[in-house]
Amino acid sequence: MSVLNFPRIYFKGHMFWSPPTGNNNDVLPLYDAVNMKMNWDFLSQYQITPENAAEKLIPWMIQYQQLSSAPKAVIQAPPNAGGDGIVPAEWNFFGDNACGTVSYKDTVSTIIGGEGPGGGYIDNDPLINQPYNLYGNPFGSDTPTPARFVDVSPWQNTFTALYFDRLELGNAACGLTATRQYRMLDRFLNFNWAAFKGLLTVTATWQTCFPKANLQWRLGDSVLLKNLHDQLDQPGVQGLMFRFCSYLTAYDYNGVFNDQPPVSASKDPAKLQRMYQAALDNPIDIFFNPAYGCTSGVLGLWHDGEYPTAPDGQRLVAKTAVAVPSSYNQKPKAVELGVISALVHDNLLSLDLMNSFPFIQGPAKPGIDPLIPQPLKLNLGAFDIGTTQGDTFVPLVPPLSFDYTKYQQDAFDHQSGLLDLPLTPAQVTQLTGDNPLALRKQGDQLPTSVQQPWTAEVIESGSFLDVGQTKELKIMVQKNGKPAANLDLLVAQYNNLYLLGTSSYYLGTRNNPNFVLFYDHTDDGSQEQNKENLPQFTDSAEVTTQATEGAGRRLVAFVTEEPDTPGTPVFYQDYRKTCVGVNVGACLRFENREPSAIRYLKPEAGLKPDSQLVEYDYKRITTDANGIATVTVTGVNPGFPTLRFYPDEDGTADILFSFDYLSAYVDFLAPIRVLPSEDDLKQRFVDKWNEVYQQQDAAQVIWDSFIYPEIFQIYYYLYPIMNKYMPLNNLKRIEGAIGQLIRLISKPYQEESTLAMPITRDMPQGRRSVLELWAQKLVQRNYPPVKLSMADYDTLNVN
Amino acid sequence: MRRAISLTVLSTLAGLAQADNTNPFDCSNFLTFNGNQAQALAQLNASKETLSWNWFNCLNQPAANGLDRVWETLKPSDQVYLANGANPGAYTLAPPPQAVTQAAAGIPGMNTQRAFHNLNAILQVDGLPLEMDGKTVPAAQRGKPVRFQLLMSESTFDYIVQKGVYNTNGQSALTANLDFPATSWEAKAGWLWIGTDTTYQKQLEDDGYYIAQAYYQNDDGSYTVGYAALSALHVINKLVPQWVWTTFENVNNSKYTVTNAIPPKPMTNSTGPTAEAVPVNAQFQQWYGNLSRYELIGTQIDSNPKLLANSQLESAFQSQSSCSACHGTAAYSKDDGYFNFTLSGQDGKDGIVYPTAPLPETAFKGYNKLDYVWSLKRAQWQRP
Repeated sequence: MSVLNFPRIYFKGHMFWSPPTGNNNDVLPLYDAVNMKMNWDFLSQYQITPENAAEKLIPWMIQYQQLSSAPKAVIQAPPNAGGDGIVPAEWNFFGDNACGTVSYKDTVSTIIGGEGPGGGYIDNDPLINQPYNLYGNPFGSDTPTPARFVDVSPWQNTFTALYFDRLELGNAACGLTATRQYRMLDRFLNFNWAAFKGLLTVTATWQTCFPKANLQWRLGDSVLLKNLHDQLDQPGVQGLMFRFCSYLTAYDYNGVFNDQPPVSASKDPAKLQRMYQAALDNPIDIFFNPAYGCTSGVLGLWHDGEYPTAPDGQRLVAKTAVAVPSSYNQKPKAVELGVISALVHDNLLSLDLMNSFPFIQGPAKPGIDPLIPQPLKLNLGAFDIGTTQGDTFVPLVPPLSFDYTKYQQDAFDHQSGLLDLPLTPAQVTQLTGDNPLALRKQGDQLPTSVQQPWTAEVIESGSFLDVGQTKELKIMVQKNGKPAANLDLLVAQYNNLYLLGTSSYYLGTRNNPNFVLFYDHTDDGSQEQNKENLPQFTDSAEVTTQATEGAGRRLVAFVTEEPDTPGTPVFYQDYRKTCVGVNVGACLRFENREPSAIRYLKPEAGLKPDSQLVEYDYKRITTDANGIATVTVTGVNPGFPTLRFYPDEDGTADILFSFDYLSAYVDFLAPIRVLPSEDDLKQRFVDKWNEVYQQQDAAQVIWDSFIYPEIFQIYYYLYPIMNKYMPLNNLKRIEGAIGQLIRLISKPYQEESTLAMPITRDMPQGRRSVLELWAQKLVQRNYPPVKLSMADYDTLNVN
Repeated sequence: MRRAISLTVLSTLAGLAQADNTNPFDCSNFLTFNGNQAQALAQLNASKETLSWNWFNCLNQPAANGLDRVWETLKPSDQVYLANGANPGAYTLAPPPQAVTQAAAGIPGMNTQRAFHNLNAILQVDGLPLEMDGKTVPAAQRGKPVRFQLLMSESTFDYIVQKGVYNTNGQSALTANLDFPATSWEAKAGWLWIGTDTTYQKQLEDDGYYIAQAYYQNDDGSYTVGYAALSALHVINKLVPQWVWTTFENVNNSKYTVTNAIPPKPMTNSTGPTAEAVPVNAQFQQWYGNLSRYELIGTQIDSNPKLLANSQLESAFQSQSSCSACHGTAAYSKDDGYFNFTLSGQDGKDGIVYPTAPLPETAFKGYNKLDYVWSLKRAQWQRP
């Protein structure tokens, strides 16, 4: 099933990623995204206050800041371990969240080949060498707009939603337009590989599917297209599946992949500051500094019952690490493989190795700009295919294996990371039996990767909710690659407890427990040893943690030396009060939840047992005959809850109190953002207008006293790309685009459009309601000298 | 022979538009179609592009004061839709603010008897500005917006005053659609700001731009006074019920204005000149040397051609720009205000779309239509 089946179309190229970096500083918590305010508590350290922010904030944001000048809570935060300074606005202040494939000079992103209905590589077709790209919704023009990607949490690098309108292949005469049904969410983001060279050596997998009705074919003379087109009428085929990986993501490549002005944010922050200032002074000088990376992708068939937004079927996850040959001279001496999806079909075992074998940056290639990074898959040896019986690896008979020639870079590029291994009938029988699939490096005893019995994926993952808003989430569950009917799952919610960096997960609670959040080594000068503590319930298994230099996108190494001292425990309840701490309290209410659970954390020195009592809610749900279950949640507190699903086949599933983000890439998680309600805003706005509505300058007064400071100001600070199109501190400019603003801030656009304002989706409903009332009942009517009432909110033409 | 005459005339009357002996079109009362609407309609049907150029030429004839061009004496919208919503009084042009004439006195070459254009707008109808940039744009003007003004004929003005729709109170009180007289005209001009940079001014003159005296008010209430170069001119009138839509622009605009891409690219026109306009342009440009660097992009009547845009006035949305379709949405609702012609499609999935065909009347339930005159949106409330 899926893209592992035949026929296929392969893609290869580069992608760009252009996020606005003012709102997602990995090191300094300047933005309190939970409450959607600037983090004034933190900024006060730099003498920046709400009163002087208009003059002082942005100049500070574009200037390099030493970490040592930050409050202690920032310095000691484990995600900052081993870090130094940073420009608060980071490397792409004017980013617009755009992403897509790259076609610039010799860098092309094209269709490279495919497979026929029965296999057989096709390398000669009119579609080959044609471009492909993801595009956004049209903005009053035929000129395509880009797709957009949005981090669900500004600081966590773990979950990114990709909004797009359509996938375009080929040209007007020969190609395909596939209109979006499902937005994407990155999957299998394995930060363990960052130990090689940071984000450069991390891979993400993306997937979306298109129902038949969403496809516009221009077959031309393309056999590749015709093969897929003709298969759509086969029983069980729902449409097309597009899966791709992104990897070797690198920064500061202006002038190499684009015609933007070159600048190195990391090496020359002074130049970056000058360029930012020039662009702030004159929008004509606004520039982008996107990240760039490699991509390979595949388009195939989407069958009934298959997850639309994540690889399904048999899924292998790492069991043991394999040695990294010393000849590579890499810091990690051993590494676990990433996720492998597998399918037996057509007397083949097809493996999705897009995100499976680690890589490093290799040497330049002849004839290619030496500045363009080249990936190089590590030669980790040959691997046997088999099954597991208990913990024992059982090779197939006759043996089936593959060596480096099958996963080295050229082979990876040629088939977009897919590998098809011919099977004998006997091998087919063994692989389709009851024993789980496994992979073992030749020469090792233990399996390298084993089949994960369960997989579960939430289709609506990455949603944005308002406090008080209810949403139903559907989760699809499979056991050994088949829909798991009548299966119980436990659903619990987790929070990340730092307003910076990528960090681990802690159970969302009803009460306010205390626990050791991390052990601090700042005072003894070895702050790089700071690592998160992951407390567990008394009846749960221990979870080990690993100290890292940096975290998430900024992770560069694992700290292998043990600290000389255990460090000073830093308790959650103390740290929560700092400018970095986040409340562990639950953000979501489960509808028809179970009675709340009360459990104790394992005792820790310095804490009274009562303070380690944890009361939390969870929900038990059951899949239907198709392996689909539903959970309904309501936002109750602002924040970034992540749902975790625990398959509970035999009633022994254990809800953990905490778990490590480094291992979470194979867990069953669904990130959600709950936006604050700010309900009083609506009444305060009405009251304010009714104070001033008769004044000749009522329009300016309501802007100066309410609309700008209460709503637009924070977006003006964080998203300066708007200076180019609609400066968010300029009433006249916004009034001149009020018709467009009304559309772009609407709730449907938040859910559906690549053009939503703000693109980051952080617009609480209270602010949206006030803006809509202001725009529709005041600006659109030229500020009539009449009073407003709360009832006017009910008569808006919300679209 | 025609060419020879034209060149001779040009050399002796450089800088002034004039009727060419070879063109029999009568400019004397063209704003009222010389009292013969039927004849004008016949001319329109014969060649709407030729008639458009004749109107453009007539508008660029010397005005009665001998200093300005005819179109410069049309009433600017800021003198119609007053900030306090008051009755604008007579059609007679008001003098510029004293601060403007005082500043002008210190600028070489300025004549306080000539028109001073109030370039009080920088946004196009899609809410975006058009930025100036290019190798030949001086640093002081890089990134600055092209500026706009809107003007109307006496017939248009009289109808607005008669109907009391010069303020929003009057528009809100409407009980029926507006219906302007056939002799109504409006013009919308786009300008490259020069300021007092004489080198830049000379360069623009050499590129065939008409240079005028202008000013604009800053956010702090002060005025900036200087020269500006005419980059574009929309001219419309109601010779037909759906109005006639013509637009002209300078052929060198791509040297001075850019797209809003990052980095920007030269701004060009994707909708014209239309095939019908090309030969007419060639002829009139030859006849009228002072207008020889302006070209007609096209003339639209009742959505034909479907798209028509001026690169200076509908820059970013040219591919969805239809003058008549967009202006056909001009409407006001007591409850909802001005009609939002920014269409959303379904459930936010279609992005931002502008009308390129007339919307059905059902779309205007609860609205009174403003007879294509979107300038009425500039009206203000007269507060108690």
